[in-house]
This record gives sequence, structure tokens and C-alpha cells, in this order.
Amino acid sequence: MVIRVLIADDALFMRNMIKEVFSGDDFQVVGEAANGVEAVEKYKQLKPDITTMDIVMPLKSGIEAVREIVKFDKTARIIMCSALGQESLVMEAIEAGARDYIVKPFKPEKVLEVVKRVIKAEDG
Amino acid sequence: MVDLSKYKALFLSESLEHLQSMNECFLKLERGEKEEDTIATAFRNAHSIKGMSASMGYNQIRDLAHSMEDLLDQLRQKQRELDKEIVEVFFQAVDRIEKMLKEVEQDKEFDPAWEKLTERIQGLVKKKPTTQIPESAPTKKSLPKSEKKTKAEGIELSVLISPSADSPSVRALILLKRLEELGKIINAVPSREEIKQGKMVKAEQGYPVKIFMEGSYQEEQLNRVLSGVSEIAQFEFKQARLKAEPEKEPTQIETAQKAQEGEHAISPLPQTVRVKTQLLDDFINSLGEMILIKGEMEELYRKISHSGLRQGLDRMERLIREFHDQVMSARLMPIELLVQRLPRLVRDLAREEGKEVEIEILGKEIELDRALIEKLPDPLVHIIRNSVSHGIEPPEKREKLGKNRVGRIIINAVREHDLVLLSIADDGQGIDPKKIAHRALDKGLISKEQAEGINMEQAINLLFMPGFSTAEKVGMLSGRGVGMDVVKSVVEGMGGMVSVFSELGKGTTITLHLPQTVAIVNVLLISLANEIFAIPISRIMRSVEVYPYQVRKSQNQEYYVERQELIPLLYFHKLLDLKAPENHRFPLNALLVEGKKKKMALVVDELKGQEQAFIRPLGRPLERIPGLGGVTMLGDGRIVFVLDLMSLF
Repeated sequence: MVIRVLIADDALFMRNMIKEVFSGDDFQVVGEAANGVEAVEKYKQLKPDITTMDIVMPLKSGIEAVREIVKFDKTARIIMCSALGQESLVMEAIEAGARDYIVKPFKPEKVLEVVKRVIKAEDG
Repeated sequence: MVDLSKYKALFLSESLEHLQSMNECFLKLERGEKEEDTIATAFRNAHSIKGMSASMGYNQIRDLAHSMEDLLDQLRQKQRELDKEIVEVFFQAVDRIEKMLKEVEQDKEFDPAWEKLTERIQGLVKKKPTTQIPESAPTKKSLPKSEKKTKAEGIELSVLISPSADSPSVRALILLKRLEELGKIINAVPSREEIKQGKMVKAEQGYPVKIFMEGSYQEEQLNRVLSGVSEIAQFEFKQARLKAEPEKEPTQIETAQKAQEGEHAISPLPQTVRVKTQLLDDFINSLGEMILIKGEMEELYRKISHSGLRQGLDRMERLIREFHDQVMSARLMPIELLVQRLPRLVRDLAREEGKEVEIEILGKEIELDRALIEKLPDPLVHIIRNSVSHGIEPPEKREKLGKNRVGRIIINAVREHDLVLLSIADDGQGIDPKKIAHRALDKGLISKEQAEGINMEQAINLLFMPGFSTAEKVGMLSGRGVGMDVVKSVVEGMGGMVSVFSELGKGTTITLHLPQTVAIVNVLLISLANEIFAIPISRIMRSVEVYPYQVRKSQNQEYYVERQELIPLLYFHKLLDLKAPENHRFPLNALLVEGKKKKMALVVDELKGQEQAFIRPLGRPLERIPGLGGVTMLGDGRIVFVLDLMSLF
């Protein structure tokens, strides 16, 4: 079964890099968002299996977006993308409902590992 | 391993955009426009650059951006006030990162200056004036000395977070959250608060976390939950008796949230795609080919005369024209991109020269072909430098003259038919013909007699002569040898022209007349000495037939008289050094054209019709010949020169 992915990051550059990580047959990138507002909208529209979410984005922060998405769908699987030194923000995102996180620069293997675990831990 | 090289171009262009945005933010802050949003925007920009450079492995840029981000964060949190030193250091950092990006582009090593700058910023960050949020002492709330000792059945879970975890405390928090889905957590060591503060202890095998949960659980449940969390090295659990403990959630967390809740309206993101200029050039080339092929088919039509063919050709012509317009509009970019860096330049130049100058930009949305936008930065920068260095007077002098202390430069872009007029006006001291003459005399460009009685028009012409530079001192940012002559040749090389207007004591305005589009143009075909030439129609006011009674002679110059206006009559073939035909027969065919200031009537042999022509530029050495603006191919395959009237006069 193909895992459907939504990528939220305000840098086109980052979105492209993340897309490449999910270029395998197991995944399908179903959408991209460039800000927190779009992230929430696209989530509601596409209902992806996994969402990668940048923390700092214009219009609405990744954390706020997580909050709204989880409110809308409590089974949402969101993985935060952070840069070094953002622990407190990542933790806030986790408290808001994000499932896991990856740190830039990220190794594709790490990303895939995190994704696999997050997917595996589906609520019964 | 992801191949990063193909992301380099995108990384560079996006990073530059963020730098530009930061520049604008800092300029605003320096002017005293205290907006929370401005700081938040700058913070986001620094953050983005940090993230992108980290992903690309440029850790030096990451570190510098990170330090900026920290300082901006303090400002954002109102933990400190903005001051001159901070603004200055921000500008330095922006410049440094820009240089580093160039170094990346050129695959050069980073100039080590970044390190000191980063340390300096970090130093500022540490020297935070007042700590608004007092550093809370670690709350060791594991076991209160209070009497809340209710015993409950539960489990004690001992987890070891992998020693290689990127963020063990985040991992621990995730662990807690997953376990909370299973049951109630009574207590944890380190506590939830401590975990949030990052206070994890590293043991040999990893980071130990103990969690006490109420209730009883089956092994599979725990296994399932824990296998869903990465970076867990090992875990074990046992039944236990627990002491109840009220969990205190820390409420003060640095959030990026408040900064993001901007109340100002931000326009929705346009649906855009980045397209390489080369691709658009290729489109234009393909279109050009299509036009040529259509021309060939037109020739065929003349022989075959089939109505269906006619219709097809007409439709093709419409389609080609539409496609051309669409591609041309894709090539158009707002002038904004060209002028957005100027405020910063003006600021730096003014500071260096000890002057006060402000710049205003109007008509930012006016568009120009991107090929032109690419060529204009250097000439523009040179003109601005001249304005600040030689035009605008020092503040004290301005006050004495009754002028505003702060000099003004106004950049204005206006569209006129298919031309864009880009003017740069300052309210400085204007051009002094005498000074110019003096300089030219010194440089041996003119003779003493010529220097005397020189008027403004002549002085302006002198400015454009190669070898003329009025730089009295070579500042850090001025006088790099880009003279007005280079400005002129760049602008004329793109089919435009430069005009200057100046009033001594009042100021100078330089106007660039630029063609808005560059490729497919309507031309008039004319014959001259049995040769066919093409002239872009935009340059031609109209064509006239000249009868003998309309010709007047005065001092060896013939004039065409129209409605009491004397228009110089010139024979085109003479201008191009072509053989004169046998006596011109009346009525003469002449084209009325407008040169830089005057009208002229150009006599040609015959008018051969109009055409939509794709003009190909001439390469060297032909492009140097005045009068030749390019070459185009007629429908019958003949190649004709396109004449560039501007360069003839």
C-alpha cells in the first residue's frame, strides 16, 4: 500500500529535497504546502498518511498547523522538520500532537526510519 | 546520499531572496519603523537560511545565520531593545552571508571573516541586558517531601534512549506522549519538566528515563507502543508501587506562535513556477523558426492560392502572435527586482560620504524584459553612485542653500507605448558645465577654446565620452571606472537611449529610454540603392511623399517643410554610404523619424511593405557598425539588415 505524503515547508528548496527522499515506490507525494494555512487546508483536502511539517513558516506556524490538524483528525501523523537548536519548539510541536521529528540536515535513511515507525504505530 | 549539487542553484536563489527580505527589514528597523512583524519576518528569514545551509552542508553559513536567529529571537521576545550596534551588526551579517553565497557559487573557500562576526553576534546574545524570564531553577519534583503518599498499583518502565539520539530530550517527550495514550503517567525521572528543559543525563549506554504508570499493562501493549518510538536502545518494566505526584506542566515555553500571528494582510501566494531564462530564450528562438516557416508557406501560397491554406496561414499567424505575446510576458519582470537593492546601496554610500540621502522608488510594478533587467544593475548603480557622490551636497551645505538636509533620489518608471522610461532624479547640485569643461580640458579631451563658453548640452555630451570620470576621490564604493560612457553603450546596446536633464543648483535627472520587448518587432521594408532594409516601425512616425515645393534649402542643408515646420531632409543612402541611385525622382519617399531631440525626414527609394520580423542580433564584429541593429530573414529567404536609427544619429 502506497504511503501518501504531504510536505509542508516554506522553502521550495527543502520541499524538493524532502520529495526526493520519498521518491521510492512505497510513497506518493500527494501535496505540498508553503505555509501553515496551506498545510491545514491541504491536509483536510488530501488526508495524507504522513505529513512533514516545517516549524517556522509564514502565515501560520507549523506548531499551530499541527494543533489544528490534530483537532480535525486526531489520528494525523505529522513529523516535524527542524533545524538544530530548536528543541523547545519541537517539544511544543510534540505537545501539540506531532508524532516525531527529523533534524536538518537529514539523512534519507533516518527519515524513512522515522516514517516507518510512525506508520507502524497506528492506533488499533 | 542525496545529491546536493542540483539543489545548489535553488539554494542560492532562495537564500538571496531571504537576504533581500532581511535587508528590507533592517532598513525599516533602522528608520525607526518599529513593527513586530518586521522582526518576525527577519527572524523567519534567518531561520530559513540556517535550515537551507544546514541541509546543504554549509555549516559556516548555518552558524552565522543561527547566531542572527538567536539575536532576532531575543528581540522578538522583547528580551532586549534594538540599538544601533545591533542594526549595524545585522547589516554586516547580511553582507557577509551574501559574500559567502558567492563563494559557494564559485566553489571558493569561505573568507574566515564570518567566524569573528558570528562570535561577535554570539557575544551580544550572551550579554542580554535583563533577563525577563528568570532562569527557573531545576525543579526536582521527583519526590515531594509532602504527605501525598497514596500508593497505587502500576508499573515502572525503565527506558534507555539511544546514545546517538539527535535530541534525547525530544525523544523522551515523544516517549511520554506515546505512553500517555496507553495510560496515566504518574511520574517520570527525569520529570516531564526536566525533560522539557533538556535536562537529560547521559549514561554509558544511553539516556535513561524512568516512567511510572498507573494501572496494569500487558507486555504486547508496551512493546507495541515502544516499537513505535525510534531511538530506543532498550527498555524493561516491572510492577511497582507508586507515590502519587501532581504533575506540573510548565506553561512558559518560547513559542514561535505569537510571531506568526500577523494581523496584517499578506496577499495569497501566487501560483508561480521558476523558469530559467535560457528556456524562454529557446521559446523565442522556436517562435522565430515558426515565423520563418510560415513566411515560406506564404510564398507558396502566392503560387498555389488555396483558400484552405490561406485560412490555415491566418490562424497560424494569430497563434504565433499569441504565443509570442505569452512568452514575452513570461519574460517580463517587474522593475522592482532591479531596484530593490538600491535603498541599501544608497544607505551605505551616504554613510560613507557623510551625506544624508533618502531614496524613493515609483513604478516598481512596471515590467521589462528580463534580458534587459539582467543588464541594467551596473549602469543603475553607477548612476546612483554619481548622484550620491557628486550630486547630493553634504547636509550642512544643503541647509545653507535652503534645501532640505536630507537629499532625495527619486526613481520613476513609466510606460510610454512600447518604451519604458526609467528616470533617476536627484535634488543635488546639478551639473556645472564649467567644472565639466575643466575636467575635460585636464584630461585632454577638449581644447581650451572649446572649454570656454561651454553650455549645458555640450557638458552633458562630455560626460558620455570614454575616459571621462569626475571621481575626485575613489571611495570604497565609488569610482570603480564604470563611466557614463559604459552606461550609454549598455543602454544603446539594448536598443534604448540615455537622456540627461540638469539644472545647476537644483539637481540632475537621468532618463533611460528602454524598449519593453526585444524580439519580434514590426518592421517596415524599404529599398535603398537596390538593397532591402528593415526598420522597426516603432521608430517611424509616418511616411510622407515629398514634392519639390516642399523642399527648402538653407546653408547647404535641405529641409522638408510641413505645416511651417522645417524638418531636416536626409538621404538615407548617404548615411549608410551606399551608392546613390540615378537622380531621385519626385515625389520622394521619406520617413519621418524622431531622433534624440529632433525630427528628421529620411529619403528612401521605395517602401516595400510591413512585416512581422524576428530580429536576430548580429554577432561581432558586425554589431559594432553604427546603424545596424540586427538581421532578419524575409519570407522568400532573403536576409536583410535591420537598421538601428538611434545609433545613426
